[in-house]
Parts: sequence; C-alpha cells; structure tokens
Amino acid sequence: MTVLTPTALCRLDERLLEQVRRGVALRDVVLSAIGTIILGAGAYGLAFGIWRAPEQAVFSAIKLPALLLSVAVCTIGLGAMLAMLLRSKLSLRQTAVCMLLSFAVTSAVLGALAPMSIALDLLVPPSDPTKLAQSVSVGRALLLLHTTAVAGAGVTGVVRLRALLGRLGLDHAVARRVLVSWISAQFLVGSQLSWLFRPFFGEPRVRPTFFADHVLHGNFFDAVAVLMRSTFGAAAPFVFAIFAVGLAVTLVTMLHAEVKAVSVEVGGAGLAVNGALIRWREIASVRCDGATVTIGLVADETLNGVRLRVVCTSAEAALDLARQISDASLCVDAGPFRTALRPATDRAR
Amino acid sequence: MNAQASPMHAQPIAQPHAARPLAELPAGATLDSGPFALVEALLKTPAAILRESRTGYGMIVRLSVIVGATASLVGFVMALFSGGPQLLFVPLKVTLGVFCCALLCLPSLHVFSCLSGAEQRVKDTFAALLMGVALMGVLLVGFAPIAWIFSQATSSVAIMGGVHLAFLVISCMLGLGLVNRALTAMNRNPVRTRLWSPLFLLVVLQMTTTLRPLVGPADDTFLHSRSFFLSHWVSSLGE
Repeated sequence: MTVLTPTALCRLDERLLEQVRRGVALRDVVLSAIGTIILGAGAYGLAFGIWRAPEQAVFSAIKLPALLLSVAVCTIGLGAMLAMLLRSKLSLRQTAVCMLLSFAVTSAVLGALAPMSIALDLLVPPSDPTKLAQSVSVGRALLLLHTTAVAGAGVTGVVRLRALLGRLGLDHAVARRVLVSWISAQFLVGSQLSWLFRPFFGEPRVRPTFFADHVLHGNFFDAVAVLMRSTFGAAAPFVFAIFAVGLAVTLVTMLHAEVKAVSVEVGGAGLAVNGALIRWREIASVRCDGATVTIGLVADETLNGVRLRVVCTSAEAALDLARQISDASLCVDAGPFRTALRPATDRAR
Repeated sequence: MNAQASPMHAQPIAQPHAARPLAELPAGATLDSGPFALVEALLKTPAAILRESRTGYGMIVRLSVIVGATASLVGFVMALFSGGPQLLFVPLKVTLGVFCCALLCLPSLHVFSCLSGAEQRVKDTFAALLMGVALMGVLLVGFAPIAWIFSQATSSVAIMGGVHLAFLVISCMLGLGLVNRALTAMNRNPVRTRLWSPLFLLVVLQMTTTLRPLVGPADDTFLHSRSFFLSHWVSSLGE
C-alpha cells in the first residue's frame, strides 16, 4: 500500500490524479483521505472543545471526523447517481474518492489551523461557570472564530474539488453542475448531522457531554425556524419564502445546461468546432436568431443533445452559415436513431 | 466574431428529419448483464435500454422489476418514521401507487406525443415511461439515506412529508426529462411533453394523498375518503 500524505492530497499530485482518472489503486487514495480526515478534523475537534474542558475536547476530536465521514457516506450514493445523470462519466468509486478528497483537503486545512486555535483557546480567559457573563462573551467570540475557520476550510475543500473535477477532464459546465449538486446534497445532510452530533464547542453552564440531551428531538431546520421567528417575528414566513425562492432559482440556474458558445468552420465532411470535427449526420437542427446560429446535435448514448451557439458578425452572415449547414446536413442521414431512408421530398431539396 | 443586435426573429432553418417513418434503432453498445447494469444504464447510457426495449418485452419486465424494487425500498424508508404495521403497508402502497400512476398516465402520454408528431408504438411509449419512472425510483433510493436521517430526528409528520415531497418532486422532474428525451430519440422531431409532465406530477401528488398515510402512524383504513392533495396538505399543516 502506498500512503499519500496530506500535502500530496492538497496539491492534487499528478500521480494521485492518474490513479483517480484510471480508477486504479483507489483503495490507497481512500485510506489516505480517511487518515487525513481523522487526523486533521480530529485535531480541530480538540481546538473546538478544549476551551470548555478536556473531556469536551476529546468528544469533539472524535465527533468532527465522524461528522465528515458520515456526510460522505450518506451522500456518495446520491452523488454518484447525480454525477452519472449530469454526464460526468465518473463511476461510483471515483465519486467516492472525489468526495473524500474534498473532505480530506478541508481536514488538512483544519489540522493546519488547529495549533493556532488551540493556543488561542488556552490563552483567553477559561470557561468558568461562576463568571458566566464573561465566559459567555469569550465563548461567543471563540465560536465565531472556529466557525469562520471551518467555513474557510470548507470553501478551500470545495475549490480543490472544483479543480480536481476540471483536471479529471470534465467539461467546465458539467463540472459546475456536478459540484453544485454534490454541495447541495452535502449541505442538506451536513446541516442535519451536525445538529445530531452537537455540541462541539460546549457551553459554560452545561457539563461536557458527548451528545446533547434529547439528541433526537427536533432538527436543524426546526432550530432555524425558531431563530427566524424570534428574529423576524410575523414576517418570518415571507423572509423564508423569499430565501427559498432565491435558493431554488439559484440552483436551477446553476444546474441548467447552457448553450456552448463556439467558433466553427464549414468543411466538406462536417463542421470544425473548436478544432474538432462534427459530421453532418451528427447535426439535428439549425436555428438562426439575428446574428446568432444555434446548432443542435443529435442525442448520444445519454439521449442528451448538445446545443452550440455561433455568434456571427451580421445577421446575413448568420443566415448564410445556417443555410450552408442546413443544406449539407440534408444530404446525409442523421443521428444514431435516424437511419431510415430520407423521403424523396427531402432528398430533392 | 462580433455579436450584433438584429430585428430578425428566431427562425428554424433546417428540419432535416421531418416527416420520416419511425427509424429502426441501429446496433450500438449493448447492455451489460448483472443486477446493477440496468440501473447504471438508466443513469449513464439510456440509449442502450431504448435499443433493447425494441426487441421484445424483456426490457419492460426488467424495468418493472426495478420500479417495484425501488418503490418498495423507498416505501420501507418512509415507513421507518413511524414503524409498526406501516413497515408492511407503506412499501405495498408506494409500489401499487407508482404502477397505478404509470398506467393511468400512459394513454395521455401516448396521445399527447402523437399530437406532437411522434410515431412510436404504445409499447415503446410504455418503455419510455417506465424508464422515467425507474429513474425516479433509483434517485429516490439515492435520497433515502438523507430522508432516513431526518426521520430519526423529528416527530413532525408535516416536516417529514415536506422532505419526502421535495425529494419526490426533484426525482419526478429528472424522470420526466428522461421520458421526453427517450420519446424524442424514437422520433425524428423533438416530442413535446411539456403539457403532459404537469399532469403526471399532479397524478403522483394526488396518489400520495389517496394512499395516505404514507408518513405517520397507521390506522385501520387502507383507503381513506376522497380528498384533494392541496386541501390534505393544508389540513396536515394545521394539525
């Protein structure tokens, strides 16, 4: 077995990428990622709980890696399905590795920040139930710091995941859609699981504990609803509706398959699109809209037909280009499902 | 090339595949054997399923098995919220409901697709519909761990109903997209199912109310009095 160091995972070394791309020796990558998650997130778990009490530090050091691994386990299946559906060609194992690598990078960053955070925890006034007001004030400031650190590490993990998908050869738009779908699922699961695994930080007036009392009572979104009601009062449902609609619109926009803008050259055998040849039989439709020509390609094995957009210098040039493509594509049978003979009327054209 | 504003309206220049008889599907990548090959093909290469569905009824049977298996599994996860006799009833109800929805919506899908110029047989329409429903079931199985996590941490029927409903609608939309693409692949022109898709969604949502309670404790009645799904939701939220 070859162990990959946390720094190799963070750099996304070429050897690592080759393993993921080919789907070979993934076990080594998985074990290395899990090891990094346990060490890095465990170290930051210590930082999370050490201010409250040593027991809380130990509890959080166990729970933070467990939380990240649980989120990964719960979302790998769905993530693989979405990746396949969004045309990424990633297998279940490759999806699992990509997700674990993202969490490993997050954990490595957390682990790197842990010494500083632990030092800070130990240098500020300690948690003291007899001086509740002061302890609560210090606790809130530390909690804000830890939350910022975790958020920053999470963003770093997502950025590296985006880079990983790109370097694995995924199309830019496909990589974006896969990333958004994975993050949405992970957010949904992560928010609920972090609620179940609470407390990480601890409160000065509550004794250190592994799980909160009544751990299975209520959920993350219940708590958000309570907070919204106390913050916005009677306007809470409207604020929620605006937020929900905004989120839905953002997700739909980001997951929507966009029309690719390309440059084309008309040749004898087909269209040269960004240097690659598209044969006439692969063109399903051509539309002209002002100076823009939209070319629809026939469906492939995924049954998805890609659309390409060509922006011409003028409406006349666009019309001329569309007619050239149209005339040429009419001369051949088109598409994997369209092999019947063309009627005489079409051929005559 | 520079973009320029133009008063010209969008105009289709070419319709090279118009008004041709239904094409025979060409030979291509075959479907692998194995229990998960069909599931993988649904997600990655649905064209392979479409090709095999033209050769006999074997693919329709296999798709039906996938639909039944996934519906039962999803029903079981739904039932874990309340446990008890629901662990038996809900998988049965969900499986029954899914097949009922598919059969109820098949005639309208076939007629509506023919109205937009489709030429496939009813059997092919049914295969396309089953592909969509099977994809819906597979995705719901993917969502099942998330739904289970939520079900263990809340006692609110409304919240769990909302979670399952959200997952159902997302899966349904993706499944309907596959139905549309499958029908288009069988024909020369794109087949429009924009009018039919909301009808299917409507039937699915109504079925969740007709077969209630799918989420929540069991009662003595298998089929309750008739109720429109929107009014049922409103009354559930008020409880």
